[in-house]
Parts: sequence; C-alpha cells; structure tokens
Amino acid sequence: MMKESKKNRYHGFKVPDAYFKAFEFKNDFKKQSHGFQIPENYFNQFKVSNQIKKDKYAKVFRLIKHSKITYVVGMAASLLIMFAIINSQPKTNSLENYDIALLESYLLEESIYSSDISSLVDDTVTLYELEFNNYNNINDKEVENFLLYESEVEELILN
Amino acid sequence: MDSEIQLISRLQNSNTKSLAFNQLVELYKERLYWHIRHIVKSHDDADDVLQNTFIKVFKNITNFKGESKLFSWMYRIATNEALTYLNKKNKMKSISSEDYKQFMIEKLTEDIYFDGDDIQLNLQKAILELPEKQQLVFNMKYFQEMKYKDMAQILDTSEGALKASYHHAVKKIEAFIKQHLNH
Repeated sequence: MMKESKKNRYHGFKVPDAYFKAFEFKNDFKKQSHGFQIPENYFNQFKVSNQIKKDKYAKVFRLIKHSKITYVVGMAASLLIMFAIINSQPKTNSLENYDIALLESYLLEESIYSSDISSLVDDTVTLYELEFNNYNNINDKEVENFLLYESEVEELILN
Repeated sequence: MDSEIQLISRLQNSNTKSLAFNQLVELYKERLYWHIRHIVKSHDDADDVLQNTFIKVFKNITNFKGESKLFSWMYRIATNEALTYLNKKNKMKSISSEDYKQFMIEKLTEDIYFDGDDIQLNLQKAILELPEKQQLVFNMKYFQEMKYKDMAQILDTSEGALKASYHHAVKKIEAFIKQHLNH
C-alpha cells in the first residue's frame, strides 16, 4: 500500500489549490493552541547577549578554587577550636595530688632519700645519725632493747 | 546532514565561528524558544533561558564531538538550562511543590503573553500535575510533534520508555480535565 502511494505521487495526482498553505496554517494553529504568546517581532529582534564577546578577553583564573580555600580555612578553624577546648579542660589532679606528684618527681629526679628529708625537718639530727636508721641493718635484738629501754611506747599505749 | 557537518566545522573554526554562530541562532532560535517556553511557561523566563542556552552552546561548541545531532545536543542544553532555572527560582522562594504549581498557574493567568481559554489553562494545570520527565515528554510530543527517535537522544531514554511515558501522561491529563470539567 505504502509503495503504491509513493508510486502514485509521481503519476499526476493533484491537490486542491492552496492545500499546503492551509495545511501550514493548521500546523500553526495547533502550535498556537497552547495559548502562549510572544512580543511582536521578538524573533526578528532576538540577539544573543554581549556576554559572549566579553568572554573573549583574558579571564582572571583563580589558582586555587574558592571552594578549596573555604574547605582549608574551615578545617584550620575546626582544629584551632579543638585545641582550645582540649587546653581549656581542667586537669583532673586536685591540689593535693598535684603537690604529691610534684614532690614525687622531685624526689626521684634529685635522688633524695628519707634520711635527707628528715634532716630538713629537724636540724639537730645529723646525717650520720640518720644513716644509723637504715632499717635494713637493724636486728630484732636491737629493736627489743630499744623498745624496753629507750622508748616510751608503754606509756603511750597505757595513756 | 552534510550541511550540518559543514556548519559544525565552521563553528569549531575560530575564524568562522562568529558568522556560523549567527547562522545557528537564526536556524534554531524559534524551535528552542518554544521548547523552553513550554517548560518555564513565562515569556520573560523563556527569553532568559534561551540566552543562557545559546551562550552555553557558543562556549562548548568546540567540545561537540558529533556523537548526536547538533540540534539534539542543543535541545539537551536548553532542557537542562530550563530545569535548572526553574529549580533555582523554586529554591529562592523556598516553596513546596504544591505551592509551586499554584504559583505557576497564577503567573500564567496574569501573564500578558498567555491568552489561552479555560481549556488551555486546564491543560496547563494538568501538565503541571505530571512528574517532571512526563511533562517534558508530553510537551515535546504533543506541542512540538517531535519523533520518539529524536526525543530518545535528547532525554537519553529509550523510545519504548518514552512511548509508555507519553501514554501515561495522556491518561492522567484526560482524567484531570474530565474531573475539572465536571465541576
């Protein structure tokens, strides 16, 4: 059927006068049936803006993209805030603990022994005397004698 | 096709680009305008988008590889520009999709460049109820009488999917118009 119609086109079939003119008009009518209108001579006067011509000139290109700068600054700011928060946190050690910790480290660093500390407490006690009090060398007999004749432990207990 | 190849060649040659571009604008401005207009509805918006489309075409024509027809490529740019334009306007107004539809209809009613009657206004309302892609398919098929083959290239969708989409769009529009005519 299709082949026949194509063949017939070249065999003298005629169309009514102004048929194609009317056909074009109908096409326009269908296109215009949406209701949209345009200003008069809009398409005749339409020109692309001069923005294209301006773009012909050399542009200033950013070496580093804005978004990357913003990202880096944001990261730096976050890190600063983090450090500030960490440094501002109060230390868990109390004053008492602080003093003991400092004292312990001082003692360790300076190799100070109990004998040295005692001398600081009582000036009358000499180092020699304190060394005598190196309890590793004291035997049980000495302790017993001390308790019996030198100390006032009984009195302290009774009282 | 040969003339298109020659035109592309002149567009991609810096010596002949300007003159070839004027020719391109003359050839396609009307078709692109109407495609855009059916998406954005308003003449002023369509004018802006048409400008943006041609600017984009001018800037990117050197990258055009001829994998599709020149017109399909331009049509795709126009579609994207129109949708981006609408989305940007929507975001600026921070309105819901329902309010957006209402806004578009009100704008159309007040538009001096819209002289459609009640049927045409209802048709536009019905089109706005469709999902975005169905709106595109319907406008391109019904108003612009585009072939499915060309639509497939522009929308990067299979012909079968487009036919199904158009069929569904027509059904929904018919139902909408019938419902509103009865009121």
